[in-house]
Amino acid sequence: MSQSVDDRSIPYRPPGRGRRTFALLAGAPIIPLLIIGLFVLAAIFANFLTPYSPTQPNLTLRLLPPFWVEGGQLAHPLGTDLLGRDMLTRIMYGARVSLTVAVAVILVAKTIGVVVGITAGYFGGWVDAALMRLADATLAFPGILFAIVLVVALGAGLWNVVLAISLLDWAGTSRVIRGEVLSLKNRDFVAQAKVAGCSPLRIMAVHLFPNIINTLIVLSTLQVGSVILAEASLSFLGAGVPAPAPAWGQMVSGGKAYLTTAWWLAFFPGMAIVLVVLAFNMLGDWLRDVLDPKMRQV
Amino acid sequence: MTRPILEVKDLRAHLMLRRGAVKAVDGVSFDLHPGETLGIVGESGSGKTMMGLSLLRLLPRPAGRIVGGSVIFDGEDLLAKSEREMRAYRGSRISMLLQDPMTSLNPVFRIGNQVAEPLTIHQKLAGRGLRDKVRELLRLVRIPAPEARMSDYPHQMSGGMRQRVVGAIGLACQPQVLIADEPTTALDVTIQSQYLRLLKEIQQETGVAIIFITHDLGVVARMCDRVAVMYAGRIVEIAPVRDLFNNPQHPYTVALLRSLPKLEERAEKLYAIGGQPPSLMNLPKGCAFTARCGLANARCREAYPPQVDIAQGHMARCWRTEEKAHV
Amino acid sequence: MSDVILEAREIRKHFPVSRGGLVAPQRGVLKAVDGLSFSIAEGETLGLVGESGCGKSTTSKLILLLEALSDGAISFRGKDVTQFTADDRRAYRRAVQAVFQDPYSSLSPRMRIGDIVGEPVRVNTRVRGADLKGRVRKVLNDVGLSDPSVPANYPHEFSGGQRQRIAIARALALEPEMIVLDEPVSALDVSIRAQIMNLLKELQQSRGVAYLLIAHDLAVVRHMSNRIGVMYLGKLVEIADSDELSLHPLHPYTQALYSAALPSHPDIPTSEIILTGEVPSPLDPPSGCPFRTRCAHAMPVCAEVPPPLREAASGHCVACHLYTSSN
Repeated sequence: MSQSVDDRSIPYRPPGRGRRTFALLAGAPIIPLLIIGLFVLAAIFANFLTPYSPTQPNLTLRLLPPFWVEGGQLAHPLGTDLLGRDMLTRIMYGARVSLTVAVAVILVAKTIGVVVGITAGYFGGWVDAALMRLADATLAFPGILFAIVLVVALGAGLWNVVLAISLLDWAGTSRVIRGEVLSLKNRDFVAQAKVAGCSPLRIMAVHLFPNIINTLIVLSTLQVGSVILAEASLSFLGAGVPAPAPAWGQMVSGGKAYLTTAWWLAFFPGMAIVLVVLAFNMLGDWLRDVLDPKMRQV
Repeated sequence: MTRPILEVKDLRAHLMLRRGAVKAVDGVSFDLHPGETLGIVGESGSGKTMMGLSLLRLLPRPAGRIVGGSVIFDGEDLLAKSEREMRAYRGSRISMLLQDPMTSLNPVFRIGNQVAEPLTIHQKLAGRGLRDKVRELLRLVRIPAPEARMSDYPHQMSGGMRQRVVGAIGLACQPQVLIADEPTTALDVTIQSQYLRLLKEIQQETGVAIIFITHDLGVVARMCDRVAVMYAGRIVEIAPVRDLFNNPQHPYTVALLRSLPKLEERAEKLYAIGGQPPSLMNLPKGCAFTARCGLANARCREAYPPQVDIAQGHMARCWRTEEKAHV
Repeated sequence: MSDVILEAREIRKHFPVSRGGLVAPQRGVLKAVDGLSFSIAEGETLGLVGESGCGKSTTSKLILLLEALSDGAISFRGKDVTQFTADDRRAYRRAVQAVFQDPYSSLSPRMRIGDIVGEPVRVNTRVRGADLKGRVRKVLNDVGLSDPSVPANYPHEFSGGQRQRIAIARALALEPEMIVLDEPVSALDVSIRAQIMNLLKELQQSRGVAYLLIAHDLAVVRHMSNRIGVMYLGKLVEIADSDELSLHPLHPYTQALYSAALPSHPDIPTSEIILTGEVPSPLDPPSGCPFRTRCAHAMPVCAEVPPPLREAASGHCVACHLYTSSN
C-alpha cells in the first residue's frame, strides 16, 4: 500500500471508557432505585417475606390500627383491614399485581407502538396517514372509560386489564417513535442502505430500530407510572383484577368509606401507588438526561 | 509601525470535560494592528475557534475556562474585566461573526430588529435615528432595497444575504476589531467571492482590523495581510502572507500547502500528510506535530521548540528550522 | 474507446410544491433537474460542479434510483432503468454504489464496522460467514484500515477521515462498476482530503471503477476528473475535458465560476467576473436560457429560445447562444 495512505489505522478509542461508565452510575438516583427495588423484591418474594395470607380472613383481628397507634400490634405493623387481613402483606401482594400489569402492558403496548411508529415514519404517505389517524382515534377516547368498557365487555381478569390498558398506551408511543424515525430516515446511512439494496423491512429492523432503543427505554420508564395509575384507577372502580386478589386501587376503594375511622385502609395502599409512580418518574427523568448526550454523540 | 490594537500573549484556555482537560488554546501569542487582516489557519481540533471565543471571553461555561495569558485591547487587559464591563465591549468595540448564517440569526425576529439590537444596546439609538442607521448598515453590506428588506424574516433571504445581515450586525457599532470565524464556509463559490470582496471594501472604508479564522488557505491568499498557522492549540508559524506561501518554514505549513489541489495545474498525486491530528487531551511532551512530521528527530519528541525568527515578522516554532537558521 | 456504462438522456425531476397559506395556496413546480444529458464510460471520472440549487444532488439521487425520474431516461449498459426486472435492479445495485458527504451520518451508529461494510454483500449475494469476513477484511485493507480490531468497533470510535474510508470500503465491497461520490471530501479536514483523494484515484487505477463526482470545490473536481460538467438551475451548461474546461471555459457562467474561485497563492491575480443579482428560484426559472438574468452577454434570443448543448470544439460542448450562430 502506498505511503500516503493512513498507516495509523488503529481506531481512536475515547479514553477511560470504564471510568466513564463508573461516573455515570455514580450519578444514578439512589432513592428511586431503592424504592423500586424494594417493591420488586416484595412482589417477587412476598411468599417468603410474610407469614400471612393476603386473602384469608381472620375476623378476630379486624381493623387493627398500625403498630404505633394505640391498639395496634407489632405483628401487624400497618394494621389489618375489614376482614382482618394484614395490610403490609396485602400491599406486598398488591405490588405483584401492579408490577406484573405494568411490565405486561409495557411489553405489549411498546411493541405495538414501535411497530406502528417505525412503519408510519418510514413509509410516510397514506400508510403514515392511516396509522396516525388510528392512533389519534385511540387517543381521543376518554381513557379510563374505554378501559372500563373493555373490561366489562371482556370480563374481569389480569390479562383483560393488560389488554385494555395497552390499547390506550400504544398510540402515544407510536407518535414519539414516528417522530424519531422521521428525523433518522433522512440521514445518509439510510440512503446508503437503500443504495446497497436493503429491503424496507431490513432497514427498519437493522438500521432504524437500534437507534430508537434509547428513546424507547426512556418512554417506557416514564410511562410505567401512568400504567400503574391506570391499573389502580381500574381496580378502584371495580373493573380491575377481581377480588380477593389484592390490588392497590381496589384497596383504596374499599377504604374510602372509612377515611375518618380506619384511615390506614386507604392510606397505605395510596402511599404505595404514590411512591412507585414517583420513583419511576424520577428514574425516567434521570435516564433521559443520561441517554441524551450519548445520543447526540452518535 | 503603529501600536497594535490587540496584543495577545501566551493565551491559554482549557475545556474541562469529564474525562480530562482539553487544552484547546495552549499558549497563543500574536499582535493585530489597526486596519490589517490577520488570518488564523487551522483544521478542526487546532483550537482556532476556541481562541476566537477566548478573545471575547465567550467560552462555553462551565466547561470552558481561560487559564492564563493576557489579551490587551487598545491598552486594556480584557481578561481583567468584569463580565458587565466585557458586555460593553462585545458587539461595540470588538465584534464577532460566527460560522453558520442559518443559526446566527433568530428565526422569529425580523432582520431590521436584529440589526438594530446592538445599536439599541450600545448606542442607545431609538426611533427615526435607529431606522436610518439600520438602513445605512444594510446599504453598507450591499443589500438591495434595504427599506423593504428590514421587515423580512431570515428564512425569506438566501444564505449569502443572511451572512451579510450577520455582517451588518457585527459592524453596527463600528468596532475596532472584527473576529470572523469561518463566515464563508457554508456559502457558494460566487457568493463567497462577493462576500469577501465586500469585507475588504468595508475594511478600507472603516479601518476595522479583522481576525479571519479559517481552514481555507485560498481565503487566506485572497484576504489576509498576515497569517498565523495553528496546530494542536498553538501557533506554529506566523508570517506576512506572501512569505508564508513563498517560504513556509514549519513542516506542517509546508505539508498543508503541498496537499492542496490547485486549480491552475493538475498533479498526478497530492502530497498527503499521514496520520491524524493529536487529541487535545493527551498532547505529547514535545512538538505536537512529531508523529506526522517527516523531519522529526529525538529533540522534537523531547521538548517543545522555541520561537525561531526567520525574517521580519516571520516566526516558526520548529527545532529543524532552528537548526537551519544556525547553519 | 471504453464502453459507456451509464447514460442519462434529457432527465428531468420536477417536484410539485404548494406555496402560500391556507387561503390561497399556489401550486408550483420545482424543476430541480430540467433536461440533463451525459454519459459515463468505464473507468472514467465525470465531475459535476455547480452551486446550490443547480440540481447536482438531485442528479445523484436519480442515478442511484433513490428518486424516480419525472421524464427522460437513464440506461445502464444499454438497458433502460424503467424496464428493469427485479434481477436487473439487483444487478444495478451491485454495479452502482455511493459515498456521501457527511462521514458522521453515513454509517449506522449502532452497527459494527464489519457489519456495515459487509451489508451490501450480505443483501445481494449468498456470501456468508468466513468468506464474508474475509471479503470485509480485504476491502478494509485496500482502504488503509488494516488493523484487525477495526471490524469489531463502532463508527463513533473513528475520526472523520477514517469513517470516510469505511464508507469507501463499503462501496467497494460488491466490486461495483461505478461509484457516485457526492461531495466525498468537503466535510473533511484539509490535510485529510489529500489522503482520501489519493486513495480514490489509486482505487480507480487498480480496479477500473468509474466515478460520478459531485462537488463544489473546483480544484478538487479538476484534480479528480477526466471530464467536467457545469450545472446551473437544473441544466448542463457546459461539458468538456477537465483540463480544457479549466483553461478555456466558454460559457459565461463557467467563466464567472472559475474567476470567483479562490487563488492558491496571494500573487495570483483575481480577474473576477462579477455576477449581478441573485440566483433565480428553481420554482420560477427565467425563460429561454436560465443564466440570462445575470449574464453580461445576454442577447434578445436568450430570452426566447433555450440554447441547446452543442459541440463548440472537439469534445467540448456548450449551451449558449454565443456559440450557436457562426460567431
